[in-house]
Amino acid sequence: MLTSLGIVLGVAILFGVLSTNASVSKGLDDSIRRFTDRVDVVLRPVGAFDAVLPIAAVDSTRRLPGVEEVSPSLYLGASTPDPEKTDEPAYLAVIGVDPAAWMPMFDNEIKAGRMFTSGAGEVIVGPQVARRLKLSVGGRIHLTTPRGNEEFTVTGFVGAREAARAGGELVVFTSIDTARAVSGKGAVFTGASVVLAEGTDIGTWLDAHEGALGPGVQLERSGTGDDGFRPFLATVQASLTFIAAIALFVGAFLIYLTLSMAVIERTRMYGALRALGATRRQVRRVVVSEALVLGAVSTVLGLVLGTAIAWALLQVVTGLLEIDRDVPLAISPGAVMIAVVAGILVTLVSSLVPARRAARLSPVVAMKGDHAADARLGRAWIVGAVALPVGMALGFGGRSIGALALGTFVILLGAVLLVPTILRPLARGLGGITRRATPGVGAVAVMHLVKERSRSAYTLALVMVVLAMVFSIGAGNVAMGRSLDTFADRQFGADLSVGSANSFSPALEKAVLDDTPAVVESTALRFGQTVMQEPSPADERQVNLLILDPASYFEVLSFVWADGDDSSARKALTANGAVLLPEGLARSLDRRVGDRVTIRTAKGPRPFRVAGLYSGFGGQQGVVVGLTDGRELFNAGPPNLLALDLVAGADVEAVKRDVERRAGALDKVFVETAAEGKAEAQAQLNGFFRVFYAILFVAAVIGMLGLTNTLAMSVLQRYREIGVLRAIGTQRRQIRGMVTVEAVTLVLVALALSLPVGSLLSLIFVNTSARVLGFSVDYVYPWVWVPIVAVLGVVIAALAAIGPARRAARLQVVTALAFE
Amino acid sequence: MPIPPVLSARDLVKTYDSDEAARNALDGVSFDVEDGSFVSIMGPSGSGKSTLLHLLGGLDSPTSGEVLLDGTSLSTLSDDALTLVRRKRIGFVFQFFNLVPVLTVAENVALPAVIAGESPAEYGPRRDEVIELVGLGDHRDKLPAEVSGGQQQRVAVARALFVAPAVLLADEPTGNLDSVTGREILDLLRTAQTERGQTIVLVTHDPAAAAVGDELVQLRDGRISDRLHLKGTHAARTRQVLASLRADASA
Repeated sequence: MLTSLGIVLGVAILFGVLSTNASVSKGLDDSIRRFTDRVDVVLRPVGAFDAVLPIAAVDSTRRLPGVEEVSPSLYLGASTPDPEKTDEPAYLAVIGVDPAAWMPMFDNEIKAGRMFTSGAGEVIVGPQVARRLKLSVGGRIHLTTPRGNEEFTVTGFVGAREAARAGGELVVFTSIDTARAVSGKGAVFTGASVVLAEGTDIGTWLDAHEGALGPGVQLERSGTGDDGFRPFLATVQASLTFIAAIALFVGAFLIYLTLSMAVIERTRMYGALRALGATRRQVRRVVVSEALVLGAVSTVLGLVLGTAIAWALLQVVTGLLEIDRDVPLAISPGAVMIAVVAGILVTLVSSLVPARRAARLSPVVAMKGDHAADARLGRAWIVGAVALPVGMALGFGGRSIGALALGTFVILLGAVLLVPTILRPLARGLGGITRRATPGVGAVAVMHLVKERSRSAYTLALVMVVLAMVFSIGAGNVAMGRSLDTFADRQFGADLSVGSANSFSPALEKAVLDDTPAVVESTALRFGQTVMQEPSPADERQVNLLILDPASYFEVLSFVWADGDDSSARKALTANGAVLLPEGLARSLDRRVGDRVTIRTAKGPRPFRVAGLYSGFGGQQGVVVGLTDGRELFNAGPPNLLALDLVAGADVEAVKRDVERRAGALDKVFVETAAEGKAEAQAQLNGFFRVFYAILFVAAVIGMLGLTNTLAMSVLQRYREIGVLRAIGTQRRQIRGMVTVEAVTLVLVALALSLPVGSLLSLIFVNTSARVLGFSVDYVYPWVWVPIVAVLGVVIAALAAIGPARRAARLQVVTALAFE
Repeated sequence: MPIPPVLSARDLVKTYDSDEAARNALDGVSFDVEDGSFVSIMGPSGSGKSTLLHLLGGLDSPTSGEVLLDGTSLSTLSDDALTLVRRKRIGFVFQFFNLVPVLTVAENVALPAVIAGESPAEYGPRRDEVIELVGLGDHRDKLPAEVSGGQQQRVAVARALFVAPAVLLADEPTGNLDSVTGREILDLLRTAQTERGQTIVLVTHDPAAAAVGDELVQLRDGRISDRLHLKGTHAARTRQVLASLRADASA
């Protein structure tokens, strides 16, 4: 029963995680493929987000050899009342397209109603958006655009290959003319999709025509826009897989322990078999085949449970990654196969040792049931002593998640193998305290632990692994949370941040800055994208671009400096030709302060001097340039975000509402206080960790089952002894106490071991995070997690002891004495 | 005024539910054990002698009837109270020694005091005395597995004597020993009776072992088939036991 549960849980977690990972990747690919579909190349302006393409660029593209179709578009942000929320509008993208080019390129068709009329206040939407915003053909949609508030008519539904975007953004489509009119951008496009002639090699074509449209226009392979997103996804997936592997490891432990117990329980039967003439090999085969049947049945159950886990995880992960929640669960034959093989293989391997032990017993000894506990101390500790430093070297020196994971695994293995050696002194020491809980028999419990160390040791190792994992993951959470706070304070620490998807019009800027008396300092930020030709000119690395005004930026905001400071950065960015780089990016390019990097600008590739390195989190990081370079080289227009410092003592919430009201009447704006920004970032981080905690919870359950199993085995092996203790005057309460003391002592020892191991792992994790994940985190000792892990351990011990303790206390003395 | 018996069985009946025929393992057994006496209970396998011993020691409860220890009925006691009675007033010696394997000889002997929460300062002298009594002074720090079977049984005897019980119940204490070692254990019990006034109830199917006692209770099919006082040398007593056995068999 317990064995079965171990396999079921182990297989379920592995299968669940594999299926989730596959589903997310597939969902993302599907959504990108749906969006890019036949599109081979996209055309977009270099630099700032609000940079535009001149009409001529699209015409020139049409004339390039090998170009089959070109569909230009014009993008702008807008908002509409959200039927599901009253306090906040729904944000959406308005995309102006040319139906003649767009419809065939994306294989679109009008499902209901008709196409919009060019230049009219009309839009078409996809069925998903129609459902979400409760729109009907012929109905009206209210949009807030840079031109103001106005009603549009929904003339039709477009399906089924509606452009779905990663990020789940809501989109409405209108004519180019209408989009130009409401955006106020004039005779321009913001991008274009290109289909090349059948059989054209995209890479070769791009190389041949790079720069053909002028330096301000960028041609790139379609679907690369998610470059920044993929590594994050890969990190999440790798972390999940790693934790699933740990869960399987812990599960395998449980299976081994329970199979050993099953063999001990049936030793007499095996003895009888041997006496009746069964060979050792036959006994071995009996044990192994029993295990295999159990393994097969449990694996099937594990697959069922795993599907449920995958479904639940998928909801969490898609939420975390902010991608389409309708990602279907993809059950791949590969995942099924891995889970089945893992489940059965683990059972098989786990059964080999008990099978050998059963077969080795002489029939006489086996039938007497008087088998000595295996108290020998093997040579395994030597392997452990070697594994520990090797794991540390891997962990501290590793440059990839793989190395980090392997290092962690090797460290855990080393610690596990060292446990039997350390158990005796530790158990004796800690037992000195716990034995007092039950005077007399408590000492017996501790002695059992100290002397019968083989089985106790591995159970303890199991609990230790679980606790160490909880501790180190918790430590990572604490350290990252702390760094995130520092980072948010410096880089997003303005009292109020006001953003707009369409850049700020002069009127909007005035409404936010001049008409808000509480503002004492402000700085304007502009965002964009560009390409770094690093580490060699042939390489192309898409990077985010942050254009800041050095004159005001450092009055309001700053950076968490890895190398550099505010004043030198201000000086460098005021002059031309300087950039600040995120630490992780610089490290991956092997560039330091003072080095040069080549960045593609609207005027062609230019060298920039690295003036500082800053630390940051995730996808927010970008290459930072000053406003002068931004305007000259990256098409920087009006700001995308205004960061405001308010007069001391100002009511931030009141100012926020005021700005929202006045600016919101002009265009779609997001206003966020420093506290909200921080809370949101923390929430995101905690959401990320919640997935780990969920899996760790299951691992803790497995650890608890392992402990229950070992205690039950102890009770079973000591029936007669318990009978004697009862006969000579031990009360039921004392017997219960004895089993509980054994459990608690075991967990305390596990706890004592898990703290150094967990600290080591968390130190490695934090130390390598800059190298592996691209951001620096300062190590903070997670004191808060010490009591959490301790309480968790005691709860595990108490829960695990309930069943065996009751069983032991309820034993009838006469029955127990007769037990052999 | 006559001295009341230390231990009395009153019309003990024990029926096992699992027996389909609901056969009585004990069927109305009554007898007294006088303070300081050595009573041997003998009978063939299945005669109910172990069941009787379990009832006398409060390890099991009778279907009807009662066991009185120092005039107190064991059936009226709660499990905890009964446990305390076993701890303080009864000593057990079993066929299979039943020592705690992870504790040393000395620790096993003092186990009842340890369970009671006494400190070594309190029980140390008593423990050392009984260890000397059973002749294990040189082995006190060894584990049970490190001494011989006979020595293990001596440890068990010492553990039973350690609490100075009202009655020492021995269940086939020689059953797992060779005859010479078995004889030594019986002598040890006899010495405890003669020199310390220890009341002893011995269950055995071996006439030579039964002959060590002063009194014989012969059990057959759950009933007492014969009772007699044994007198004279060990050989004379053995003859008495064998005569009783023959009479019982021919009855």
